[in-house]
Formats: sequence, structure tokens, C-alpha cells
Amino acid sequence: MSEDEKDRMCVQRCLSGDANAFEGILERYERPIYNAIVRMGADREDARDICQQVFIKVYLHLDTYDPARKFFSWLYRIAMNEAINQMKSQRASEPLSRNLIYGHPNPEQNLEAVEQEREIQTGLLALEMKYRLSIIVSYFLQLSYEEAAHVLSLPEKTVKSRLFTARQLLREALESQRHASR
Amino acid sequence: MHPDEELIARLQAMPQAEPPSDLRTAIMDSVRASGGAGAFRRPARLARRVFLGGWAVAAAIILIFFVIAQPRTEQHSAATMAPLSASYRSEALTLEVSRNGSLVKLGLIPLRTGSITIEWDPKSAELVAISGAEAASSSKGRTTFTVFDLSRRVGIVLRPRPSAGSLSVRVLSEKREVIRAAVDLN
Repeated sequence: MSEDEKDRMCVQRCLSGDANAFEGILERYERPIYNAIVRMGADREDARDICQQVFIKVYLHLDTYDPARKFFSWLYRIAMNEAINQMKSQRASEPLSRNLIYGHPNPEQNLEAVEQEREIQTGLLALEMKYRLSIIVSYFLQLSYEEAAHVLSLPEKTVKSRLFTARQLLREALESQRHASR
Repeated sequence: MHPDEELIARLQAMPQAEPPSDLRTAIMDSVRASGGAGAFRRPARLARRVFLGGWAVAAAIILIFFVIAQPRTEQHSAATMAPLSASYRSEALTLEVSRNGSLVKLGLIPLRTGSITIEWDPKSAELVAISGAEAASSSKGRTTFTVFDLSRRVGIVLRPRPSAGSLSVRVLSEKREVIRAAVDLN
């Protein structure tokens, strides 16, 4: 059974009253969505709250899911929109924490890898949100242009050009970090 | 290697940030307490119009009742401690407080459109989820949203802190306090 078929089955079970079936969806998407929210710039505490609100919203609106589409692209679209809204409102009430968070570096993970991750995350935060999002959906959520276009509600052509610009800007941001640290 | 390829390789090699270990349990608790998948199902267009019309008539009757028959709206005071599972009414909305497992649900039935702010003591409870409110903004102990559609109920799920014995809630409609309640959590 494909992942998409598993998702649809979970949705069906949820809609027929089996709330526990939502655990299957969480199992597959909790990590990528939490990671995407962190890469968008939320700190650990905010990412937790936003992630929780995203999944509750998804659950409450499961009946609006169109099975003709892939479930994950519908889910990611809600997740990205909700995360942007939440981050905007949190930014309005308190300045966004600049404390970066990373995956827990395990003992084998060398310092260089941790430093590389810090560099990329800092570079991402230097980008405008529209460019940051195009990198996140393409490389962290690993969506095709077509899927990314649906998630970001943009034409496919715009996604391609935005991603091209985003990579350019990110390279520049990484360069200027290197110059600053010399 | 082309600089673009190198960057893509670096991006793809980024480790995933690990979600907190209790996040999944917290989400499932909220899901079970939420009243079912698709709880905010929208009726079909015609049914929706009839539904909205019904609500508009009901809201008008209630407003007339409050404005003409009872010019002084009764407000609930924090001085009296209400049990957990209570209903509070004002001219702007009805607030229903109920318990669902370890969570407290604040259900709001709006009677007029406009901005609504809910405040609670953040030392007594933390926000778990908001449903039915478009573009709600939240900070610690406070949630604000705008009611455009009187047919939509708004649900706010809070998790009481273990040491909290009571929860004080304040509801403002268009920045004016309309309900103040203290709820016994024990």
C-alpha cells in the first residue's frame, strides 16, 4: 500500500469517528512539519505550539480534503499557511526569538556538521519568507515543482524562478557569513 | 561541483529538527477532545444561507431582548466561583466552559460580529488549540480573533497547570469586557 493510500485510509477512519487513526498521519508528518516550522524561523517553544495548532486544524478540516489530490500536499498547504499566520501574530506580540534550534546533535555528529547546519539556518533566516519557503518546500519537504506550486498557491513558473533566486540569495548570505567570520 | 549543486547537496544533508517527545501525545489529546474530524463542516450554499438567516433572526431577537427588555446586562463576577461546566451569557456572545479529560474547553457562540478577545491567567492554564476562528492571534494568556460569521462556533482548548485550583477568564467584545468568570478546576 502506498503512503498516499495509507493517508486516505486514515482520513476515512477519522471521518467515520475513529480519532485514534489520526496517529497514523502524525507518525508520517509530525517530523517533517515540525522541521519545516523550525526552518521557517520559529524557536523550539513556538514550533511546538504552531505544530500542535497545525495538526488540530488539519483534523478539524479533514472533511474538506479532496481525495483527488495527494493528501500530503493538502496537509503541507494548511501547515505552511497556518505557520505563517501564527508566526506573523507572534511577531506582532513579541519579537521573534533569534535563538536557533537544531536537531539534537548525536554524539557521532561531528562539530563540522553542526557548524554547517548553523550556517545554513542563519542563511535561511536572512532570506525573505517567500524565498525561505521555496527552499523549505523543495529541499526539506522534498516536493516537486508541481506539488510546491500547490502548497504555496503559486504558478509552477513562479516557484521555479523563486527557487532560483532563493538559492542565489542563500549562497550570498553564506558567503557574507564566511567573510564576517574571517 | 557547480555551486548550485553544492548548495543543494548541503540543504539535502541538513538533519531534521526533532519534535519534542511529548508533542504527539499532546496533539492526540487535543484531537480526542475536539469533537470529531470535520467538526467545522460547512453546509451547502443554500443550506448555509438558510442556516445563516436563522442565526441572523435569532441574533436579532436576542439583541432586541437585551437592548430593550434588559438594558442592564448581567455580568458574571469573579467573586463567585463557578463549577467546571458552566454557561455565561452576554449581549455579544455566550461562553460555555466544559471539561474534556484533562483539558478545559471554552466554547464561544457569537451573537454579533466584531473582534473578540479572550484572556486567562497564563499561570493557571496554557493554550492547546483554537478552532473555528479565522486568523486568530495568540500570545501568552490571550487570544484575539474577529467574528465574521455568526454560524461558526469558536473553541479554545486550554490545559490547566497541575497546581492551578481555579481559572479566571475574561472575554472582551470590541475591547469592552462582557464576561468575567472564575472557574473551579477541582
